[in-house]
Amino acid sequence: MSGNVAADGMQGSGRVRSALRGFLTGLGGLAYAFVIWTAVFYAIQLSVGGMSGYGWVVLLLPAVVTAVVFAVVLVTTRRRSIGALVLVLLAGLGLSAVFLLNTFSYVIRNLAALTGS
Amino acid sequence: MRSDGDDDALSWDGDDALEARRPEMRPRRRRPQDSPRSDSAPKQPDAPAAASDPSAVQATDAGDDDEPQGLSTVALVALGILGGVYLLYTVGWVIGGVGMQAPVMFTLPAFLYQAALWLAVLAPALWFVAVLVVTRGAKDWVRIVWLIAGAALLVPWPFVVSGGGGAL
Repeated sequence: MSGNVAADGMQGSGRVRSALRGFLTGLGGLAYAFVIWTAVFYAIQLSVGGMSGYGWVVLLLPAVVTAVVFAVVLVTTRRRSIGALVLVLLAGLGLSAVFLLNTFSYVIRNLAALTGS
Repeated sequence: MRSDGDDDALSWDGDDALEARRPEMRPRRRRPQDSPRSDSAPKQPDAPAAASDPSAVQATDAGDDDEPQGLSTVALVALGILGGVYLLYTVGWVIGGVGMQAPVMFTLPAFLYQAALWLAVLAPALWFVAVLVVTRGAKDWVRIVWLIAGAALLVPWPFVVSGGGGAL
């Protein structure tokens, strides 16, 4: 009887932990999607005046890198605690933002080569 | 207080307490299989020769300690250096990001750029904390390698290419 109660308690706590993990992963996904959206928005804005193929690759690279970083974070923290998941999600988000701003810097300095003008 | 006559002139009150506190002066824990040695007994070839070696005794005592060992001195110095590098990166991202603000915000809404800038400024600190926490049980060189990888990935290029002035 008490064994069943304990098993139910453990199962319930595991379910709560799994739900919390899913919620935090979703929240992190939204934040990563925000970075991807920023990269795509900037690419579309710049492409109004014309954009070379190389320019598209450079401008959309931050979006691809951000998605890859998110996938890597999810895979590497699969068997880790929720705290580790949050920390690695935040570190990956910072890395994605760093890559995005580095790309912005490169685009500003090489705008003529990217737009083909 | 000692009452050994001649030794009284060379000793101070409290010396015994000091000697008792020294780790090397601690009496060695006697193991059950250790038999009391006597000079008259012949030396056995398989008897532990280390019993008369003071360095070996210390090594044995150190091996008996069950306390977890902290970071080595080299790892601590490396952590300090890399922490300083990460701190410089944070400053570099503030200066480089603010300097790049005007030309980027010409085509990008302010809140999008501001959010990305804040994330980039916090990135070195986030990476440092994440590495320290996630690799807590790992070896020192694993932590150092991850921190060096972060130092290679998080370079504030807008600050570097602008010559440190921030304006592009």
